[in-house]
Amino acid sequence: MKRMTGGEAVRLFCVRNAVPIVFLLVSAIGIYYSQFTAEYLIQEMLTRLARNAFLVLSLLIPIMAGMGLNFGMVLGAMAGQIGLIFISDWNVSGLYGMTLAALIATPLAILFGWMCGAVLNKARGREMVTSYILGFFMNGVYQLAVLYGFGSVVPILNPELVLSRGYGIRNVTNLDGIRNTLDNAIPLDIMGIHIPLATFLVIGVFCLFIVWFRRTKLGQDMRATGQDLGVAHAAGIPVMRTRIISIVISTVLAAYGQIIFLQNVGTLNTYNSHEQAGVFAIASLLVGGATVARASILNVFTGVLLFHLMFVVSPMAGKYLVGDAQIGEYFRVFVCYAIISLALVLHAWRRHADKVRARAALRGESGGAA
Amino acid sequence: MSQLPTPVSRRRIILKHVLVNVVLVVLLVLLGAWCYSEGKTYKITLGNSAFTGRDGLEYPALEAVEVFIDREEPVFLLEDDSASGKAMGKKHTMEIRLLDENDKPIESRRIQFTIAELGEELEINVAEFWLRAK
Amino acid sequence: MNRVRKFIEEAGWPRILIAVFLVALFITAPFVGVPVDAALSDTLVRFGMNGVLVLAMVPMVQSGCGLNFGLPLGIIAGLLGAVTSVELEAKGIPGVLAAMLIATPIAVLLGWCYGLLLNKVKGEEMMIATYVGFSSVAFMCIMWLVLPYSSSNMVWGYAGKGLRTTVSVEEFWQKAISDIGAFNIGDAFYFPTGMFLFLLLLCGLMWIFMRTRTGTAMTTVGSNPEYAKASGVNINRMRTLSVILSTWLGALGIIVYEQSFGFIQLYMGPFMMAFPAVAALLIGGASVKKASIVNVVVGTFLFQGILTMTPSVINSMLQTDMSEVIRIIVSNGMILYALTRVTKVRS
Repeated sequence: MKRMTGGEAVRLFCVRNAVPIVFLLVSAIGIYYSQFTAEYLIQEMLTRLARNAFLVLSLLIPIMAGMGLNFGMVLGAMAGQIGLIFISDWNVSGLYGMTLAALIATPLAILFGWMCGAVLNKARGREMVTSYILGFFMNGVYQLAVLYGFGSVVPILNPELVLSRGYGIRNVTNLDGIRNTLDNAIPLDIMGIHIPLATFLVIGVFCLFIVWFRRTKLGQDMRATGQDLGVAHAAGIPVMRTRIISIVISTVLAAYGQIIFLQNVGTLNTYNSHEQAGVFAIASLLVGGATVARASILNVFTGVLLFHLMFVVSPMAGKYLVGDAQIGEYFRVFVCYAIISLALVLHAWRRHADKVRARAALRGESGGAA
Repeated sequence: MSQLPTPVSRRRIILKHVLVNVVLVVLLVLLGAWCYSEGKTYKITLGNSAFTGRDGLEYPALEAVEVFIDREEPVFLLEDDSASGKAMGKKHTMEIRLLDENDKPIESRRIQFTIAELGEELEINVAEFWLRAK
Repeated sequence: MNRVRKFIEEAGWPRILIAVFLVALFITAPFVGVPVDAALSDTLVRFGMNGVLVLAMVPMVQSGCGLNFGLPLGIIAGLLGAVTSVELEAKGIPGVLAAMLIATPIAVLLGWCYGLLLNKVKGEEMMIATYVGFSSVAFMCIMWLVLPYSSSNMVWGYAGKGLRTTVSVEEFWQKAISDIGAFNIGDAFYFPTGMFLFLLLLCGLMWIFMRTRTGTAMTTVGSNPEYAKASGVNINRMRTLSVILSTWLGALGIIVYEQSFGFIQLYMGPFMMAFPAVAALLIGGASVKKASIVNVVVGTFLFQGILTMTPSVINSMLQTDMSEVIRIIVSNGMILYALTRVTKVRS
């Protein structure tokens, strides 16, 4: 690879990280106008980092396997929520409750993930849009099950969970039993700021898992599959199986992520929580500078921080700047979708350009993704 | 030339895989069951009223007490009060603190109990437990 | 037996399932006490309302841009036209025409930009279209608050600015098109002749357009880009043209929809509107790469029929309203089926 001059390196850095840099600027303006105290913001950021990081991390493995952003992670979120509905029905609380919810969610998530992977294998080249629609489809199935099946086919003992008509789960399920249990498992306060240490430990362990996983045989296979399906197949890698496994892992992890997310929030919006999970997680990852084809752990953390910084400050900034908090609300919705479109466009664009460049100068491997 | 696995050894490999998976699943189910039994939270009705002891004597209710179940948030009870408390798991330690007029603890006693011995209704008469804890 | 199997293979089992389901609904309807004439009338009205929006899918599918999940962009152009026409207090048929006229340049401009964008991202159109649609809706949410409309029929009463979430067009042009030559049979059966004629007109124009030189070139670009290139067709221009056409039809479609519905739905209203239209087209037998006018008509009728019939029939049978869930499963299941059907083709 050619050596780069300093100026070029800076330029390349700016181009590569255009999205996070723009975001940082927007947030900085937002912070200035929102008039929040630093303490409030730090506390809020720590809470949100603990709450969301796991969900976002679950997106990494399918990206590694070249399947793009796994919009199908909402399936995992649904599995996690079903686990939570059961434990709040049985009134199992504390860390035991969370573990049990995760244990119930695991087989469901494996099933969903396997299904999702099998469907995506049939729609190669359009995985993202397919997983996206699959999310909608399974949302219908989830509603059918939870709104009509629970309390009639699946026994629900606790009448507080059930709608007044006798079956179906209420819109809001209270998770008092496990609220903040993981966050407060190891209490730590520094200068009046509460730090959810145990949650961070879990996230840290998971990061190590990802680092380790990349080095395993399966991880290597996935990267090979992600780079070139045909070559990987020729090299004797069971491509389809590898792709399914990557989605299964992602779905299971998304289920755990949703459980961690909801133990922090403390209430489960039975029919909405999972829908937001996917969009916000994906937007966060992209804000962190990840692309559809390349994402690192660092992207996850910067992304969650920046995205939620914007999320917290924009209504107040909107209020003080133009006198209407509603505009700020809409603004953050807009940014959320715009950032995803931008990332998708840039990715498609770059791939197009790469193809042209590759055609212009036939050359071999040149370091790949730096 | 590497030797192809004979049918017998192949069957053994598959069998081993199945066995490992079955053991894993069984372990996970056991973990789940353990979590359920340890984490199941019961709503216990705590009462503080007069009762007749086994010796046939009449015992009065306590004046004012604070009840802790497994270091949870305390439940405060006056004479003839009742309230509900939460208990997670099967075995519990209850700490009863007798309070004076200024709500300062005078004496505190500990007693262990299990959910099984409470019966269907999950009711505890604190006055009775206070006596038993002696 | 062989012919039956071949028919099933060609039509695809989900479509047959859906058609059977609809027929079953119509058969059971009178037995559970649902009036068939009212149900049929509802179906027809909704067919007319949604027809143009479904038709808006066709040009883009034909030119190989895939399913137009970016329909909200066209809808926004239509909404701007409609809102402006109300602001000008245009009434009756001139009102609707004014809305359409105002919407047209906006739709062409938006469609042109959108087409240029899609040309840069060949192979990923659908996902990007979805998010372009979403972000434009979110962007317009801000705009509806900020744009200087002032008609008291539309803005929030207490603030005096910012458009309401739904604007009634009752005093302006409700059913202006529908009521042209409309007639009633009995109490419950209403036939919106005008709306059908309008849909028929657009379908006819589309049919003719597809058979002109430009139209066939467009189809070639979609079905065989190499051949199109070899015969000197400008692929990017054809694609852009198809996107503009789709966006413009989306704008007209939403105006037709609103004049029948009686309300303009702003803010998050158009957010999910692309999905039912896509599902309807696919149910009608279209694929991700091929769609015809027949697909539009059949699909819209089947899909809207199910949407109208399920609530009433299932409600009277089970005493619960499962229509929303059924709608989600049917429409997304259909899209999913179509997406997994086609093997990957890349330019």
